Amino acid sequence: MSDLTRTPGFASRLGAGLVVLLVVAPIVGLLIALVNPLPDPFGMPQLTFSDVVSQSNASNLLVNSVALATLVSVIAVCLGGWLAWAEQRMRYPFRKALCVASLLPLAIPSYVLAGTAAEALGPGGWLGQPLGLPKFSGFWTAVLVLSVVTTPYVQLLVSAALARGSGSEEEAARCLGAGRWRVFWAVIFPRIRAAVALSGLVVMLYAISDFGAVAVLDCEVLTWRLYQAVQAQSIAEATILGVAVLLATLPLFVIALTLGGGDPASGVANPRPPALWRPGRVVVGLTLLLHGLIIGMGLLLPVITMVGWIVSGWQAGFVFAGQIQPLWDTCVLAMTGAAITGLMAFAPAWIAARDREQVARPVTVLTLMTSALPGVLLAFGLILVALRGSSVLMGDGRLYVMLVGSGALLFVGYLIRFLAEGFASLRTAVSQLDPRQEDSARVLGVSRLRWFGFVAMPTLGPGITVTWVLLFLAIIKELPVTLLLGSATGRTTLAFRVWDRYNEALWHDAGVAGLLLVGLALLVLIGSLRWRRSV
Amino acid sequence: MWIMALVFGCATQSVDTQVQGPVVVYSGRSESMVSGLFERLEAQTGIDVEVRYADTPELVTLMLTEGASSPADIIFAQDSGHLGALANAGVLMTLDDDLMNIIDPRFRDDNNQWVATSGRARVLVYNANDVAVSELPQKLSDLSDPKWKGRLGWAPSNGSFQSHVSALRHLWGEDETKSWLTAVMANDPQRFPKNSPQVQAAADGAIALGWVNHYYLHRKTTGDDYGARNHSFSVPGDAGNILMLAGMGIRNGSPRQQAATQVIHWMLSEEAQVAFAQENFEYPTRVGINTHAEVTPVDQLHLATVNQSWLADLGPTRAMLQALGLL
Repeated sequence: MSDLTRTPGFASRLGAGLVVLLVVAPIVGLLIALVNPLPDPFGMPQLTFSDVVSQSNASNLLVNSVALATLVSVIAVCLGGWLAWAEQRMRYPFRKALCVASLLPLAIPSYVLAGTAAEALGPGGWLGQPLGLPKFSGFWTAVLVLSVVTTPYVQLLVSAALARGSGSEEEAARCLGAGRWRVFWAVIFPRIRAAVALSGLVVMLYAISDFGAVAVLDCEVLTWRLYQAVQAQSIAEATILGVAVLLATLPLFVIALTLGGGDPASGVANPRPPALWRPGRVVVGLTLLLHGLIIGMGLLLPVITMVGWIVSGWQAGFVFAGQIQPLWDTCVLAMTGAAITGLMAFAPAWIAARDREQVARPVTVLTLMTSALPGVLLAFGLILVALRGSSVLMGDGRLYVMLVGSGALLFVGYLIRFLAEGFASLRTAVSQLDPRQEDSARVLGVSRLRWFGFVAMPTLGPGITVTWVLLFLAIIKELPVTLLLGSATGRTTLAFRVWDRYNEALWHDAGVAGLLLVGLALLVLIGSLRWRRSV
Repeated sequence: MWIMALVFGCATQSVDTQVQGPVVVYSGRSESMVSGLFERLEAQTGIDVEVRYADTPELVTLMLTEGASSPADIIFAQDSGHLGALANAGVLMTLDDDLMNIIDPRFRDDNNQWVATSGRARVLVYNANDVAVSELPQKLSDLSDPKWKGRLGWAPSNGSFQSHVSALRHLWGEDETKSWLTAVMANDPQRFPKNSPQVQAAADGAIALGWVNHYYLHRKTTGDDYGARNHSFSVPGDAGNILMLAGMGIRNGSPRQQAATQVIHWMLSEEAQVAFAQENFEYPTRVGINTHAEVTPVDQLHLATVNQSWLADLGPTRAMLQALGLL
């Protein structure tokens, strides 16, 4: 830790401890289920850990999972990092519009992108047929789809970290004779290093826990097998596979955290935007090409495919389902869920950025770990804990029914599922608070509360906005947790509509719901543009 | 966690819902297929129904996990196999004979644990330009013919596929089923994650034949220019001709069994059964209701005689598919 950071007080540590406890709850629930398994509904013998692990190709699936997650993470960090750099430091035509459009794939659920890409790029598809492409499925297509879906995530996070840097330091370095690369490595990189590593880690967790794209693209990884197990109601097998996924992520954690370093450089007060760089043609060309890939594959392709579904449904005279209620319900759930998750992510982010390494490291690992768990297992783990808690506290299931019916369990589910994303974003923001301002405030006798409200909050503003936007976009497209924990609230989301209609081949309705998701994301991204940059 | 949960809980709902409140239906059937029916049911009977939609396997696992604490009164499952699993676990109550007698005896559960509400036929979907009618397989086992090499599609991870293979194990025996699957695999069938993309692939000519449920085609069809057609096997009683049933059961211990029974009664009413047939292109289970004009009538399907519990025997099927590398 930097000598300028301030050790957080007891309250922050307690808060972080409680959040961590909450986050590991589903894992506890699943362990209860492993120790105390339900009888197999189809009368098969109970599977043990070694049965599942010794299945014919389990080791291949494990290798594939780790390879998929690592590749997607590296690609997303490279591409997203480049786009963030372009957004914050370069000058080229249509920069602002292109950078917002490049973030929009965040609104497309991975299974929708996978499904539309498989249709459009496969044999017989509107692009696949003229280009004579083979069937769009398997490992490499999953790498492509997941990279496109996660690159905007890195772009948003790293761009926020870059925006908080000050031009004056960079100019000072340049005046002292440092070249562009030297300035980058000596001045800029230390400030964004933590953001890069954390976003890479979160992308990796996203890729290793993704359930939808790998199922649609028939990519044989651990979650693909887990999906089959859930379909066959073999929750014991699914749980064992889930634990295997968690274990598989641990070495990747160590690597990512080591690369991220423990002490991100602190920011400076009153940051001033740096002068924009006018790159040469080659760099501009490459940047535009990259925008083209992300926007083309992650936005235009699904949007055009969905518009195609709507038009052919309209021409065929199909009846369209009303989507106002799902639109409203999606907004309500995502706004509330993002606020709660962002708020709860604050304590661990504060600890991770400012506490001693011995405390910060375990809090970081525990906060992020559960994100490796696919949503369906997370939901079941939470249900198991709630059932157990209900019977201990009230002797029956009344509390459980109340928790599910009121939506409380749903928001806890969102919190656990997306805590890592909120944490990564907030931690970067917190680590850039200027300790000198804190010192000045203390010397002047200002209370911690006033310092937090009047000094820290304005600095954290853009970081908090980015966090909320990220969480909002994550929740609007979420499906498994919403299905299992949210249906009791009587709310219908757009992501549910896409899934429900797509499953029944009612593509015109799926298209409308999908386009509304994209529209909602566009509104939120444009609406938050000013707030993400500065306050 | 509990503090936060309590705050949310108290804010919106009281615990009384467990005793009075609406009839809670766990529906593995999609919202698009059945929500309209539930709305009509509520309007006509005055029964308040709360439907929670998700995939059937997940809902069944949820019910088994929740046990006596489950808020569910009714399970509305996409596949009878899953209803059989719930019945085996003792989760469902025995239904009245007058309810069971409404439906065709062929589709009845022997133990009155659940009742079939509608059905869908397993068929081949084929590309009409690529395959002549005379060339179509007469029986399911013909799919192993090398002439179909590189021209087939199937969805081994799909629930209907696995139920069908379970039935084959009982109709043909384990060894014959396994060697048939091996022979079909030698034809390099394209894998699909589910049924509906196969119908599209057949229409586009990406595959010549796909192995699916009948109704996706009818939802896609916008006229004769659509490239795909359905085909049932002409050999009477062929193992390929199977009707998969969706159905309902009532949870043992549900405090609203009477209202739940009324809900099921309504789903078997003429009005509901006509809706299943005409709006969803499904096979009605009530005796005397016609199928949609575009759908092959059930008596012309040459159905195999299948015990519904066979379709639920998924465990050994998955083991077989895994051993073959299909899962």
